[in-house]
Amino acid sequence: MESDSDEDGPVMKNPVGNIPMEWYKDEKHIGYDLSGKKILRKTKKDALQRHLDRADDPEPWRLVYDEVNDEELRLTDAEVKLLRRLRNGKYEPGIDPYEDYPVPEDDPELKIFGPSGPEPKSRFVPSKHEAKKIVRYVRMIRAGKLKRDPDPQDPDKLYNFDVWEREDDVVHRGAVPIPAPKMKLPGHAESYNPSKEYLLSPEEQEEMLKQDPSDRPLNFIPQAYTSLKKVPLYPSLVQERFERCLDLYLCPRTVKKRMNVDPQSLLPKLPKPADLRPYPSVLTVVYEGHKDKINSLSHHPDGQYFASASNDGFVMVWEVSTGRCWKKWNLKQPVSYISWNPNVDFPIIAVAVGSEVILIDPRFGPQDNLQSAAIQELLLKGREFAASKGSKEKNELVKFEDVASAEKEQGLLLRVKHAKPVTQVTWHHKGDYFVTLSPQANTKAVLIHQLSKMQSQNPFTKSKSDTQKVLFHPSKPFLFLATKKHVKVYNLQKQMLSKNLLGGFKWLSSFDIHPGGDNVVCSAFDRKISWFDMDLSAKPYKTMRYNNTGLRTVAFHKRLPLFAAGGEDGVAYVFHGMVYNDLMDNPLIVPLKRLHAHKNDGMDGILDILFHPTQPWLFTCGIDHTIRLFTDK
Amino acid sequence: VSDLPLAVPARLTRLGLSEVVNHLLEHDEPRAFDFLIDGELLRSSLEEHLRSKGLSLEEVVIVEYFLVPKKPEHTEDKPHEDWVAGIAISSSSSVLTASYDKTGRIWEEGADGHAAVTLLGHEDSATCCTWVEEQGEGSTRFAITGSKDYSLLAFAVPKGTGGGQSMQPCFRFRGHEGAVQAVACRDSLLCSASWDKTIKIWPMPTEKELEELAGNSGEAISQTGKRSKGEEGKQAVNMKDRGCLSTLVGHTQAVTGVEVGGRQEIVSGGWDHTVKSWDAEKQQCLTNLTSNSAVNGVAISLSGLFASAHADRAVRVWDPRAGALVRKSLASHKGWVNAVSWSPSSEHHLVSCSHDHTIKLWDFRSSVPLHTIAAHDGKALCVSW
Repeated sequence: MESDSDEDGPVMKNPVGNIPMEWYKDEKHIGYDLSGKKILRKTKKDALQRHLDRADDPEPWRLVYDEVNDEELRLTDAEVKLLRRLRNGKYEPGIDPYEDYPVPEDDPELKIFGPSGPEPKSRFVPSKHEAKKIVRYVRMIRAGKLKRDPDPQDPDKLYNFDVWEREDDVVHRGAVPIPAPKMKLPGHAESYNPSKEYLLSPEEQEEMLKQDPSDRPLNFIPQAYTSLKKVPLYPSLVQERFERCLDLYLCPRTVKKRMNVDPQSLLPKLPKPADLRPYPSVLTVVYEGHKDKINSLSHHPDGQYFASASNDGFVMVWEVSTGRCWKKWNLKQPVSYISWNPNVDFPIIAVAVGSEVILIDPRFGPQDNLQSAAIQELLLKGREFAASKGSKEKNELVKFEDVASAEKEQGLLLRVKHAKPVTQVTWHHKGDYFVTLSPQANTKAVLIHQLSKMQSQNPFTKSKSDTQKVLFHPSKPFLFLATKKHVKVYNLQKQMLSKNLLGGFKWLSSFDIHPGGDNVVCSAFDRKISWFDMDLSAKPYKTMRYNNTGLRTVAFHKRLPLFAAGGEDGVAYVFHGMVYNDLMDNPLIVPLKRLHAHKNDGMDGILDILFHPTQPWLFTCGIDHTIRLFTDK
Repeated sequence: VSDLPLAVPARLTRLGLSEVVNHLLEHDEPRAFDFLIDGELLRSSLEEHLRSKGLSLEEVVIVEYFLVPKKPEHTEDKPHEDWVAGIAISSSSSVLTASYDKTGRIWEEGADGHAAVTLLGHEDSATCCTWVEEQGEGSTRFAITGSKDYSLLAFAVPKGTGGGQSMQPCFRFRGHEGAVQAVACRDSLLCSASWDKTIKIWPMPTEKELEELAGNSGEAISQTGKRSKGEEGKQAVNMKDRGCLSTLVGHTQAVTGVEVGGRQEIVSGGWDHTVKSWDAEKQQCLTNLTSNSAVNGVAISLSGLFASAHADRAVRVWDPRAGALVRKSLASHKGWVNAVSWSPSSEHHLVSCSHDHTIKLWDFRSSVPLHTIAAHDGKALCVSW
């Protein structure tokens, strides 16, 4: 063939190149000439004209339409002949396709690599070995032993390889390779031209160099260079690489298991306060009448009345439902504590006034009511017993003294004179015994008195001067004694210490016993409320800190699973405290409500709290001379 | 008004509808009406009401209308020296009150500020009171007062007594072992509720007995006005002690409210959160309705519905036959509700009084009170029609 260069080939009338001419199909031109002008399409002949032309033409089949140049060509005889040859599968005349390759005979290299002899016969005859192999395969296929290859087109059978598979997903055999710890990435100080704040002043440099290399915050001195090419070779490069290698090779590594747990899910699931109704939540009644701060509250076992003791010297009995003061007694001295006998048959009120305990009969109902008669009978029995006992002992613990007749009219029964001021008085659940606490009396601090014998006994020989509060167990012969640090449980029958509850208190303020008798809740001036489950241990089952200031008092509800604590900032905290009968479940404690009960007067807000014996109602009393009743909504 | 359906704009409220009705009835003087749709009072615009019920605005709605009950007007003050714990009104509109100063008082109309009769005899504050009026020609009424001294006293009050007298009791009902908290009487059934968790039914005082009593002592019932303290003890001889006929036991805590309905039915409520109804003859508990809060007072309506006043600031209306609340509790008071009383003339209206110093008049078909009366400076303790 001749060369394809433009000079030699036929002149390109339309130099549009080898492109599909349909791109110009809808245009008026078919391309551009060398000077950039459009080559316009010739007007097409219509079908009639073409037919006439073909009729006139003796050899119309010679006409060929050249699409590129938009012209009709007439084939010459030579071209027709060539076309015929090509159509018959023959080459262009003058070309021999089977021309011998000219082998240069005297080429030495060909002699070395060329065939050394005639071809062996085995190259031309079919192989017997392969025939046997094929027969074997055919038999195996027929017997079903050999499965044919899966269809390569079947997408299910195609073997896919996940190039982007993560390393974590790969199941490793043997020990899991532990990735090397990553090095710290360079920061601004490592820059070749750090900001000025990263550069060290001479003093800082000196100070840094004084330090041990392991203590230095940086192991190099940051320096600034104007361009990167001025940065010298890092002098400790080899040293650092070496140490890194030592680290990787010598330091044992373990995989640190990261816990992927939502911290919220670790918290115990507490029921919502709304599901634990009823509990006191709204202020309902305000009992007004006292003229000084109110120290203590106690309720009638029925729940119709409750009594309060105040610094103004009055003991008042209030009607719960109306807020009216039903009766009051003027004792002329600040009353520090009040306790109503829990036995309905002897509704005696015991109050601690100065160094005396005064017993009061509130005289409900008609003048000849049964309870007053029963009380008088009990006292008579006591007096007779005391008289029969004979002469007064020398070191009598306390003195039982009758009241003046004018006081008797008012309902006062008896004065029990102690040597030192009495801070607390508490009844036994049967109503015959009561215990008094006068911390200043050293070894005689805790005394148990029996009304039906008019007798007193001192259960302790050691000094109990730091005692805060004392309570009887609600059903068993145990006495609970709270000191500043812990609560001690004494078995009165065996005369021994049975348990010592340690809560880590600095100054315990008050405690109360669950009506079931196995749980104790303590409040402390160091802002703590601690729940002790005595079946579990002598350590608190749960300790809560809520208050900004200390907690002064705490109380259980007699029937409902409620308890409350009163703080020195005048806020009462109400809790749900459910104790289950079976030993499998631990008590459930849920904080329910903060009641802003009393004004905070710097020191004390709430002085005492009291639950109504049957209803979910809470009384609080405090420094603002009022008692408040909170009821359920 | 004709039965033809009227098209009214949906945005109309009570006021608009009232105007429409006034126009239709051709009233010269416009009056206020209340409107009832499906047993519920209209308290917003028609549109809102129907929306909340999920009804279409196109539907025909039957609207009943009736006059708005008038706002009760304060007519008279009856000043007491001490707190008043109970109040009762007789058919001849004599007012009986029980006071914390251990007395009962009877007030007649127009006796500006002075009690017609003062009833003495209690040893402790009186807590409740009721009238016993015999049907027929009997001229003597009995005033019963209950007290915290565990007893009830009956005073014979002939009609027309007055003039600031004081009076001694003729009967004393003893048997309770706790403060008497409520007393009720109707159709020759007298019963009282007490803190000793029981309800006791007492024999009715009758005129015949009174005559016997007077005959025995040979002295008329004291109407002699002021008496010195020394004579009081002597007067007590004239008093006859009476025991109870029967005791209804069932409440687990103090019974604070009792009332007698028709057909010898007693309804009671207590601090054990229940409202119970009793058959007085069989001494059986008929229904036991439990709520969430302590009951302070109960009342029974003309149609047999119960209302109870609760410590959780609500008034509840019960249907004893269904054993359930008629509608959600009526809560509008801001304090403990102390007492509740049904209107003697209308079966829909009731009145309640509360620690929040107010008295509220309710139509129980609406959860909003009709009227609120802030009449007192202190806690309102008892209320009666």
